[in-house]
Amino acid sequence: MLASAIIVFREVLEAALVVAVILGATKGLKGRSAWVGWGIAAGALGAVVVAAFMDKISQALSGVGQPIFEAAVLLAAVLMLGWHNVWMSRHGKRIAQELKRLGSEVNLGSKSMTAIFVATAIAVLREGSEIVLFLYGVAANGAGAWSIVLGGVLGLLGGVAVGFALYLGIMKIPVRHFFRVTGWMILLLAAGMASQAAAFLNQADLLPSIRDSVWNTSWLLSGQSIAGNVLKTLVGYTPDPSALQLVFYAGTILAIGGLMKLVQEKQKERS
Amino acid sequence: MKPALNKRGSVPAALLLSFISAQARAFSLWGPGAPLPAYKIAIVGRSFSPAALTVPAGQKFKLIIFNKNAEPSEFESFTLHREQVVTAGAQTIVFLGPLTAGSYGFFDDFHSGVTGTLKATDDKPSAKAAPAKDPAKAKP
Repeated sequence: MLASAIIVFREVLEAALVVAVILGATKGLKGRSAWVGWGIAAGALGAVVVAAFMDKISQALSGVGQPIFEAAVLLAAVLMLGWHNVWMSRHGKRIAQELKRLGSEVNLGSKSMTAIFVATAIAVLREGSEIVLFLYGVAANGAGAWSIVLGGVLGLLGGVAVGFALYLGIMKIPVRHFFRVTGWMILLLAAGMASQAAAFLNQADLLPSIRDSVWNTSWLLSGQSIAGNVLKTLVGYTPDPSALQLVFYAGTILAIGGLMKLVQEKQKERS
Repeated sequence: MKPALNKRGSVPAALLLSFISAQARAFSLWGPGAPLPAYKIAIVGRSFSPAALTVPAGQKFKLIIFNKNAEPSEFESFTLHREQVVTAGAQTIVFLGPLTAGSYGFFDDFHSGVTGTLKATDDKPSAKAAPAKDPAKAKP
């Protein structure tokens, strides 16, 4: 039971942290809970589909379908988060003002929420498909299935609880700093995903690592620890990143951050 | 011949995908130079077989993982930066290397306690002089 609780907890935790950041960063946007909720539902459904077709995915593209799928999905999430951030650098100020003045949510249309929906769904789909595969194995195994399912439920509750705690923490950030902080959180989240995607592209033998382990901080914080896992999800912490991962990480920050800056400058000119 | 490093993040997903799949096909059909050496490992019951595998350091290779069980497993390694599901009764290819000489642990992420070790070693009968490497610097 403990083993399944730990495995499910770890996967749920990763998805829950991403969802918490997304939900936090969309504070003040009308209908965000519904969009994130539907994102979770779509992600869960997608997880089952992906798990069912994992055989096909694995054998696709001459046997490297799986890491390529992972990389593609991660990069899609990076695009969505980047798009949201650029969009927020245009509207964030107004939302913050409305929140301060009226305490009410702003309706900026459903178009802007699609990115949120997709990014949420992807986060749930990635971790969810692993849970489905794992639990499928457990079910196929038969023996002691109930205790393992109980462990899975405990793991799920634990992961959701940590995600909820992070969300509450984010909501405590004062309004005047709020969107700057959440903007950075989304940016680092996206950069971390890009770096993970880089690792998968190297795993599929599509890109060279350029150089393995540019540094190694596993003595300080191992990637296997819970804290290491949390930081991996939130800011892309890797104890020993390859040069390729660093290029992707920095490239994402520069690309999204640059676009945000550009949009902000334009906004200033207009006002 | 190395694939070009595209501007990441800003590339439209569709373009990137088609680029990636084209590369994947190109690589497997013609391959960059000589075909990679392949090493095989199986997951049988609750263990890797063999649990310890020796591979040459400093060169790329393929690890072919067979899952002989009726349930899925996930080959994972922190030090090798690999994470790949092997569905029930199937096999999967994991590209690795070039590795620095040393020992790398891996495990089955779906079954706790199922572990194995990959040992990358420089000492192999080779006409070429092995590059000078400080063994003390090798990874634990």
